[in-house]
Amino acid sequence: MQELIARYKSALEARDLGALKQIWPALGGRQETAMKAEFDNARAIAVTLQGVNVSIAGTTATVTCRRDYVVTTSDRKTLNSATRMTMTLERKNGAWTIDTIRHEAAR
Amino acid sequence: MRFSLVFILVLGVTPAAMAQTTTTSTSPTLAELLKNVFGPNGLIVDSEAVLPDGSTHSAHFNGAFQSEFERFNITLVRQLAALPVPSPASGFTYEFDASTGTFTRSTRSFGPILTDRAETIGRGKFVFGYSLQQFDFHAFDGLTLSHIPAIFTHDDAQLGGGRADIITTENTISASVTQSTTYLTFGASDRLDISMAVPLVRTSLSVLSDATIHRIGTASNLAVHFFRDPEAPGTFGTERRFVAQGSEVGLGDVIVRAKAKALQARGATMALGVEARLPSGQEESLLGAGSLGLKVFEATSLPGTVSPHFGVAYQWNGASVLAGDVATGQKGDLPNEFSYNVGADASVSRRLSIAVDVLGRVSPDSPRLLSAPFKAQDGLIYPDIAFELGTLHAVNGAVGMKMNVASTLLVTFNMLFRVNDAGLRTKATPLIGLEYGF
Repeated sequence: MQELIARYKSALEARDLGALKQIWPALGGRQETAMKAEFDNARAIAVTLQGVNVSIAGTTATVTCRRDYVVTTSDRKTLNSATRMTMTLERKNGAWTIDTIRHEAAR
Repeated sequence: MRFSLVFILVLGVTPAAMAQTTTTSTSPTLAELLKNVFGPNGLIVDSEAVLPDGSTHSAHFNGAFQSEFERFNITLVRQLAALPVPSPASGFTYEFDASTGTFTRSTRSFGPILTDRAETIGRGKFVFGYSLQQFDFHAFDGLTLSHIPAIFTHDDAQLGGGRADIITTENTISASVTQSTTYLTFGASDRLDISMAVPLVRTSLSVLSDATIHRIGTASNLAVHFFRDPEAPGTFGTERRFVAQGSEVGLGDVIVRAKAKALQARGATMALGVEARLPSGQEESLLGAGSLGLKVFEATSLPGTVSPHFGVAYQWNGASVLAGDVATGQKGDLPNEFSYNVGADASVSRRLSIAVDVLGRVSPDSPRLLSAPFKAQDGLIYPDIAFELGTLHAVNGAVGMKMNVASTLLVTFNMLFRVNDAGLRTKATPLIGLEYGF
C-alpha cells in the first residue's frame, strides 16, 4: 500500500502518464486528458502527501491524506494547491491499484 | 512584386499608344526620388527658341509636385515611427480543477494586439516575439496615389506670352513598406517590463509621371516648348513619360521601452511607460525617421469576459533631414504626435482570443496634401495639388486574434484598416506574428 502511494507521487513528479496508468488503470476520459495536458505544460511538479490514513475492507481500501501539489508551468508560473485527497483502491491478482481519486479543499 | 508587374504592363502597352518618349531618372537616395523624377535639374523641356542675346531658351517649369512632394517622405516615415511594439500577453492564467486534481488554463483573453495592455508579464519572465506588417499605401489625404495631378508652370509665368504655357502631369505613385519586427520583453520585476524591438524594413517607392505640354502662349510655334524624341528627329513632341523607382532594405528604428504597472484596483490595471525610438534606420533610405523619438504612454485594462482597454500617448520627435533637405543635410523638426486607442479583447475559447481597437493619431503642423485646381491663362481649370501645414487626425480600426497553438506559443493575426482619409493610408494592413513566453 505504501509502495503504491509512493509510486503515485513519483509518477506525478516524473510527469510520467504511463507509470501513472500502471497504478491507476481506470484513469481515462477527461481526467486522463487533463493529466496529460498538465504534464505537457509543466516544467516541474512537486507532491507532498501528509497524514496518510489507510482503511482496508477486503479487496478494497480507502486512502485519505493531504496533498500539497506544486506545479511550475512552462511559462514559469508556480501554482500551488492543497487538497484533502481520497483514493479508493482495489486489490486484483494480489496487487493494489487506484480506482478513483477525489479532491476536496484542504481545511 | 505586384508593383513590378503593373509597372511592366504600363510600360509595355501604353508607350506605343501614346506615341511618347520615356525618361527613366535616377536618384542618389530613395528620399530624393520624388524630387528627381524629372531629372536632377527639374522639369525642363526642349526648346529651339533663341533669346535676344543669342542664347538658347532654357524652358524650366515648376510645380508643387517636385518642390513639395518630398513631404510625402515625412508622412511615409512617420508610419514607421508610429508603429507600436506588439503587446505581449501577460502570461497564461490557471485555475485548479478539483474534479481532475490538475490545473487548467483559464479562458482569459491573451490581450490586445496593436495597443498596450496594462498588465506586466511577471518577474524573471521573457516574451520573445516576431511580427510582420505589410503596408501598401493607397491614398494621401484622400487623394488616390495612382492619380495625382500636378501642374508645372513656366519660370516667371506671370509675365505671360510664351511663359503662359503649362505642363500637366498625371502621376502614379507606388509606395510600400514591409516591416518585420523582432522583440523581446523581460519582466524586470512583477511590476516592470523592459522591451526592445528591432525592425527590419523594406521600403519601395516608384513614380510614373505622364507629362503633357499645353501651348497656351506658344500655340503658333511648337519649337518653343517641346519634348525631343531621338527616334523622330525634327518633330516636336508634346508628351513624355518620366519614371523613377527604387527600394531599400535595412535596419529600421530600434525601440527601447519600459512599462510599469502603476495602479491596480478592483481588477482594473493602469500602467505608465516611456519609449525611446532610436534613429538607427537610415533616413535617406526611408528606413527610419532620422531623429530620436521619445514617447510617454498610459494604458488601462479593465477586467471582464470582454475586457475593455484604452490608452493615450505623446511622442516628441527631434529634427530630421526628411523634414528639411536631404540633399543639403539641413534638418527640420518632425511633428510631434498625440495618439490614443480604445478597444476590447475577449476570450473565445481557452486557445483563442480576439481584439478590436480604434487607434487615432493627432499631429499638429503636419504636411497635408490637398486638391487645388489651377486656372491657366487660357481660362481653363486644370486639376492640381498643393501642400499646407495642418493638423493630422488619422483614425484606424483593427480587428485581430491571438491563437494559442502549443505550450505558450501564440500566433497573431491582425488587420488594420482606415476609418478616415487623413494622412498617408493603406486600404488595409495585415499583420502576422508569433509570441513565445518562457
